[in-house]
Amino acid sequence: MKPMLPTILSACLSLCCTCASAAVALTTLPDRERVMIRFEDSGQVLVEEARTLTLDKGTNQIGFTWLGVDIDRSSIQLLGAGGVGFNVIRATYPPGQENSLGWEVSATAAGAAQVRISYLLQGISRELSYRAVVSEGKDPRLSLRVYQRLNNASGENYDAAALRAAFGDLRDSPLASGEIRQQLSARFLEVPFTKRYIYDPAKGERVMVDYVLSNSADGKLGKGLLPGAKMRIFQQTGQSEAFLGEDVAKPTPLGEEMVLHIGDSKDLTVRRAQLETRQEVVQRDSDGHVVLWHQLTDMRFEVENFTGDEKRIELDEHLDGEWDVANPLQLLEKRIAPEKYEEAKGEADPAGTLERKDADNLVIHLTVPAGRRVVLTCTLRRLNRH
Amino acid sequence: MRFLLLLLLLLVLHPATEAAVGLVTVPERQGVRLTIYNGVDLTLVQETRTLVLRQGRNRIQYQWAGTLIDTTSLELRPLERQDDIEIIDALSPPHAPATLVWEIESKIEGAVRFEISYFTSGVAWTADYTMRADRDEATAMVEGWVGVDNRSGESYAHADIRLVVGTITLIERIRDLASGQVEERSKQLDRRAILRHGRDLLGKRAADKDGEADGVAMERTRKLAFDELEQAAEVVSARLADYHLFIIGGEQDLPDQATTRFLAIQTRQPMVLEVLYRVELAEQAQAIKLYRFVNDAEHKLPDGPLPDGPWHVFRVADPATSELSYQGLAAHEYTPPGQKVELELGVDPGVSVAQVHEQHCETDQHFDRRGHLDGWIAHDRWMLTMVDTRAFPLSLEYLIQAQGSWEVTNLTGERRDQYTWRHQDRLAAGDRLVLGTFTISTRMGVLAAADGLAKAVHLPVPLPLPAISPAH
Repeated sequence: MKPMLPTILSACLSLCCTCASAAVALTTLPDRERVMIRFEDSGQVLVEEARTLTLDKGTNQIGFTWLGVDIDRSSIQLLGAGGVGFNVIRATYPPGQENSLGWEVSATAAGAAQVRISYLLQGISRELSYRAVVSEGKDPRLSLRVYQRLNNASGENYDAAALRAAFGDLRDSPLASGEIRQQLSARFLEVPFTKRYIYDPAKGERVMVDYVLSNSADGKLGKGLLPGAKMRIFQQTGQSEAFLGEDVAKPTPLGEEMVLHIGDSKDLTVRRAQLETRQEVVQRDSDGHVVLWHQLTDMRFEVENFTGDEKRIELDEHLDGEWDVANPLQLLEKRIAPEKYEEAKGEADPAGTLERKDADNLVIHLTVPAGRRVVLTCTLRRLNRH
Repeated sequence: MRFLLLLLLLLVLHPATEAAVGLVTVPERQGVRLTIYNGVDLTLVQETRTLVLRQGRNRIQYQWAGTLIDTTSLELRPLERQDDIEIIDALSPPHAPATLVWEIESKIEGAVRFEISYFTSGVAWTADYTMRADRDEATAMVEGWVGVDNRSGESYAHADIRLVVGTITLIERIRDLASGQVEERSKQLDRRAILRHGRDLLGKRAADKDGEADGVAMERTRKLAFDELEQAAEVVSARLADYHLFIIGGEQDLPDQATTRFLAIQTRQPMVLEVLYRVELAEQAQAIKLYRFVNDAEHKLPDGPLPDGPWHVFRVADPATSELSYQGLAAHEYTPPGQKVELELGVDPGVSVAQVHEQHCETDQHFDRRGHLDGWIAHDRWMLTMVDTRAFPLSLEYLIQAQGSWEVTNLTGERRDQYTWRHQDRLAAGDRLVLGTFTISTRMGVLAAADGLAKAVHLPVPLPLPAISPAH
């Protein structure tokens, strides 16, 4: 067991008699009755303690001190939660005591007041992680578990704490100083996903494999925001599991896609070639110099599928300015010898499509049948250059 | 802790026997008022002491050490029998640092109340706020605190505290004056006139408020019954020339090296809150969450400004238990009454926003007489999609920044300034909002300068990309 840090976190109540304000007497040292620890998405941790103070009618002094813990002093609040009503008149930070605070409160009557003292506490943290397992079979699904790892390095022992987080459920449990506790926070089963193959020349000569989940009811998720965290993906293989890869998922709001890049495909290859670049004159000046033109670039993409399954791939092209595409042609080929191909006549050849993703990006969607090669040629036209 | 000595000595000097100097009394400080300015390291201290005068010439020696008092600002004035008392000289004796001797000509004999005033450094005040919004963020409760931090080297007990909000011109730092660094220069300043002006304003303010003379009001507050304390500790807001004043009721102790916070502003009822998301046109758009409200009575805020300061913002996470969730730390500038306050709380992942720059193209090319391209119109088509995945409605402020001669088509809104277009919208809980496609058209070259030509704008209609054909 790890050694506990010396910690005192106390609220002391002292009463100020109306007739003799200098006579300050310590009357009680109430224990905290309940503690709530809330882990915010921002990384901040808010602690709320419930205590019962016995107040006198009139002015009461309440001292709050802490030792060995790092509390954001400016965040400390004292709130009434029931019993005798009171108003906070002032708060005093005594000289030379960075870990102490005194409240002067005025109570409307004598009696017990239920209060909540809240503050932001440093040194206590939460780390989320996802663990996904891909099932076997033709229509694989994911089982997704979300864990929250709570690390209490604050120096304070919490014997029994109500644990809260913006995402997922946490079980109320003790959280001792130095303790790291991991809780299963959420579980999603039979989650459908798609694999997306992407070729982006800006990211090198490779075909990236992305797993795409939909944070929606149809996607068997959709309970709210999926927080950003590391996700490890495993493949179910009989009774054991094989590690496929990991990525850091971005925070994914409801209705959005969670995209996880887990590695590269070696069985789907892309060869991109720029065949020819030429100018198409739009305007010349009085001296015959070209002042406005279109720049045309002939392109050839060869995508080969070495697997036994049909694959869909996205080819990214980055363009700037004004542009369009001319003469896109697609040819399905089969390999007859190493690096020798002929047209695969009579075979199904699903047509690809062109998508203007945004002003700077063209996406070419191609479907490549098992063991076949698709060759796409087109002309990229950058318009109205000057 | 620094050694502190603040000593007042009264020496009575008989005109006939100047060499016979005798110590008469060391009077206690009877009352003290601190007027603390924020933004500059300046505090006006006004002490009340009763001196026992003898008829004729009196000499009063005032000493201080270990404090941050501006020597040049020290002033003594009688609070009563002014016609019979004249301060005729003030002397800083050689080889006696932190010492000042006043010579007083008195026509009367007996106890007289005096005020000693001076500027000091090392006392500062700041404001900070706590906001607790409801779970649905429709209303919120606000507490505003003022904290006085005393690092002056001197403890002030039973002090009447006034806090000035505003920007005051200060030619030299009080701390430098106190340490003697600019002593010679400061002698040329009419610092006493500044002091008198400030005192007159404060005195008038106190008289207006209390209907009593300044010194009487100070005396009265000392004698407040204890059961009045709660009411007395309330912070009253008032105007002071072009500045604003917070007057902290009752007498307060300000120990040296300590900070004391007073509750200055408190909403008695929930105030209406607007949840605003601000999105700016950019490739990587994000929705910045803001709480917005107006500093006015309609929003249950007391009359007066909100000095700048940090806000700890909370939201009720569970109405059944009143458990709170921490929304973040925000800041705002000084806000006069009637002005709106915006608290920026950062990116909220519960609201997703996507912007797509769909297309760029150029039209209306213009050529000069030699055929050179000298103008065109650039068009950029955009689309914004925003989804409120939370359970509460929200307001959207969408800002488009542009430069040169530009206009926005297919998006309602207003031109805020030369560079900004603003569109405002509302989203219901769970709603999806799509804006666009809208186009920003920018006139370039001569088209930007020539109004007649610039009107000939033809919005481009984007042609779809062609279908892929089989090659064989």
